[in-house]
Amino acid sequence: MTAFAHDALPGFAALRTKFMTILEGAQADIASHAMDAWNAETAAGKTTSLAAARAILHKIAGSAGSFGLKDVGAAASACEAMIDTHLDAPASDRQPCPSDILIAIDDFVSRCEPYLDAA
Amino acid sequence: MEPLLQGHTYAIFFHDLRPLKVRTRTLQLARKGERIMKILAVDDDPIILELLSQFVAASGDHKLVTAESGAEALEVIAQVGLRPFDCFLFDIQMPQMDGVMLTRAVRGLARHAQTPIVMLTAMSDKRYADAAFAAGATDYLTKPFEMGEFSSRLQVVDQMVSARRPRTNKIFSTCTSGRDGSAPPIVPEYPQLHEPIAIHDVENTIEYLAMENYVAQLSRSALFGSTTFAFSIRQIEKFYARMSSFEFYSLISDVAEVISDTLRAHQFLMSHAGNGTFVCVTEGGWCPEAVQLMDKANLALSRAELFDNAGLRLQPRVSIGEAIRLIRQTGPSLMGAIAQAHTSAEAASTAHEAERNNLWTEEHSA
Repeated sequence: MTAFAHDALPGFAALRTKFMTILEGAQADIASHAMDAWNAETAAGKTTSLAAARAILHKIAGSAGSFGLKDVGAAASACEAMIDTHLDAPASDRQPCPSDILIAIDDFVSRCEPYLDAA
Repeated sequence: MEPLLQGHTYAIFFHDLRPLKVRTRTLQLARKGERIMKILAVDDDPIILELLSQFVAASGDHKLVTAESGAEALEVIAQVGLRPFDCFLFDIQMPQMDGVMLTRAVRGLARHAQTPIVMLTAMSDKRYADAAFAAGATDYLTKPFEMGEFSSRLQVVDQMVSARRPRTNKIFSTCTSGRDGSAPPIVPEYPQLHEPIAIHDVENTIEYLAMENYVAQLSRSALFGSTTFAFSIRQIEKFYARMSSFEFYSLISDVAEVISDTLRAHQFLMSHAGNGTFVCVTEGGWCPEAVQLMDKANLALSRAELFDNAGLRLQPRVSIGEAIRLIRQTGPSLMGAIAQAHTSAEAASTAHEAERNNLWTEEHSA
């Protein structure tokens, strides 16, 4: 975990605890949206699920690093970029959810585990 | 209550301003002599707003107001009778109204036409960051935040606010609205010739400080295809000497519009850098052919019907300087390249005038 000057701010420890609670819920929601995208029978269903996962990943990518979870933030950012690339591709609505995205999200979820266990 | 910072006394006021659900947290730390900035932070992630609250509290005696959406932010800004904000912190990616749209809306408000706007961006937001600068953002801060960097950016903003305060106290404006029907331009009463003038209602034209921040954030790959060059208005001293502040502002703004139209087919940002000189940065690999571009801009200027307040026709002409590719430039050398573009345009302007005078003298002596 990276130490920052702001770690010593009064109230930061409580905010970090709050973030860990949010992360726990976010991790579960992202995994759920990823599975929905994988199992989606329509392009619209896949897109909706991936977009929902992406919205949560974007927030985690922007905040995790400030709470010392730099690798979690980077993994979330990587997932976000992969989802963007897939959804922006011209033939996206004719393709199923790529397995690479699922693998990347699985990596993100795995990276969260030790932090959540330690919290 | 437990002290926030050891050795300081403080009071916290935490209100819920229904129905806006805006949380205002005022931290009055006992640091006498520091100016209080009123800051509005907008982000759809509540944890980021809480983090910013902590950072702002630890960065000085400032007042932070937070909002979770662009619409909510505009409602807060529109509240009459309250002191205007000194600084905005806007997240770029937000649902419904994103940070770029919000920046554009705030720049349309007369009292916030020049208020510093710092965009909060993730590394993946580069395309949005470019649009934010074009919409009028002053600087950017990359997520995830770190306290040290945040404080130093806030200090820069604080200095900007301080520098502007004496001038903006004596602002006047003689026209009722901007060219696009937006708020009237804010014109400093006694602008110095060498000072950059902020123009917010011309496409792809940004403040000079924002231009410096924009160039500083260009990635190595973006620098590969980027070029800087500048246009300089010939005989700018003469225009400056005989014009009122508003006339001079209007001239700068009108020439900016002509240059912006001339560059319309390209991906660019430009800024008035002082002395009637406009620094441009293009991306996407395009490098201008200087003489052709200068002729095109001057043709457009000759077609534009520009008049001063007395109804006399103005016929400004511009010169263009050296085009400098930004590839392999970093940090100070990037700023050096911008300065070089600026200087070379002014030198070209001086040379054009000297050449014109020589031609006139030769014709008469022949």
